Amino acid sequence: MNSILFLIIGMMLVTYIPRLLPFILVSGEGLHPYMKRFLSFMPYAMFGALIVPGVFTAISGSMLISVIAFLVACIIAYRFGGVILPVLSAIITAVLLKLI
Amino acid sequence: MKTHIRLGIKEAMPVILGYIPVAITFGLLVKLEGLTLLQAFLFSSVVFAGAAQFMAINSINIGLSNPQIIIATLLLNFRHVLMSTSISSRLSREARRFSPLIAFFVTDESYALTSHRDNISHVYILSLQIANYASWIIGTIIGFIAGQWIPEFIVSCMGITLYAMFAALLVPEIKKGHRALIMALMAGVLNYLFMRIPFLAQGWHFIIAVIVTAIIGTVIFKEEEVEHFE
Repeated sequence: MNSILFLIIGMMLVTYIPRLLPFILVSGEGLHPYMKRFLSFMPYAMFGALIVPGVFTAISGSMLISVIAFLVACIIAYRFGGVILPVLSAIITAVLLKLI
Repeated sequence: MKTHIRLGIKEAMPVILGYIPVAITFGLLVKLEGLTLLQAFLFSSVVFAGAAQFMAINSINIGLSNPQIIIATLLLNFRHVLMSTSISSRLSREARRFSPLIAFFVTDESYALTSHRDNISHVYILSLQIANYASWIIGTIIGFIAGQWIPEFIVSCMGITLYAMFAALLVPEIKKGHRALIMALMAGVLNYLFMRIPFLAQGWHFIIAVIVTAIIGTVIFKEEEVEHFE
């Protein structure tokens, strides 16, 4: 138990410190304009890297179903907007395709 | 105050839907490894980092030592520096007082949900984050206690949830202009390529892909905007 407890505390520290440091070092005020531009572009890049390549293995064992369900979410989001509707559509698509 | 809480919890819904099945898988994995329910609970409530938690259990299984697992965790979770930097630059003045708490709950998903907001209130972001956190812990406990009775089929299909959410959050940005699509594609391709570099530690392909893409974007699109003004 002790060994696991040390592991958990160690993992917490090395996870929390990188999460915390930017809050101490960076605030919105007084940022260099280049830094502001850089930060404004970061979300798009982050979304791309969060999606690819993880989406290909989203549903274990069926890359094709993962990709189709993901595309359904994109189309629904493009057509209707929102978050819950595209998400539910993707899940339903995945379930239906798995059942076939 | 109440509307901020409600908004935060409402926006957290897709993440909750995505976290619970992943957390169930984690809880079950911890149990199969022969650890206790308390340990499973502590992993999810104290560390609160999905990928690192899975990595840790697999590492225990193959007999890695604690220092090895902790270093791997640092490398894997260092990407949160990017997300915290972005959130920190968009917090309201009042919310800054709560930043040590907000920082604890920073995840890929809570970043994604708040990435389009400015002047973020602490009540809103903490409601959203704590809702995510609660679902991660509850899912872990359910997985440990009842994981083997939950059909693998459902848990597997739910794996698409968080990716569908990322898509739903990105698509409106793409509709506004091509730059979002170009940058997202660039980052995705780079992330995939960097992942294949054998000596790059796990987690760093993401950081490098994002930074390189954002720098390229800053350079390319700056000129485009100047043209618009002329």
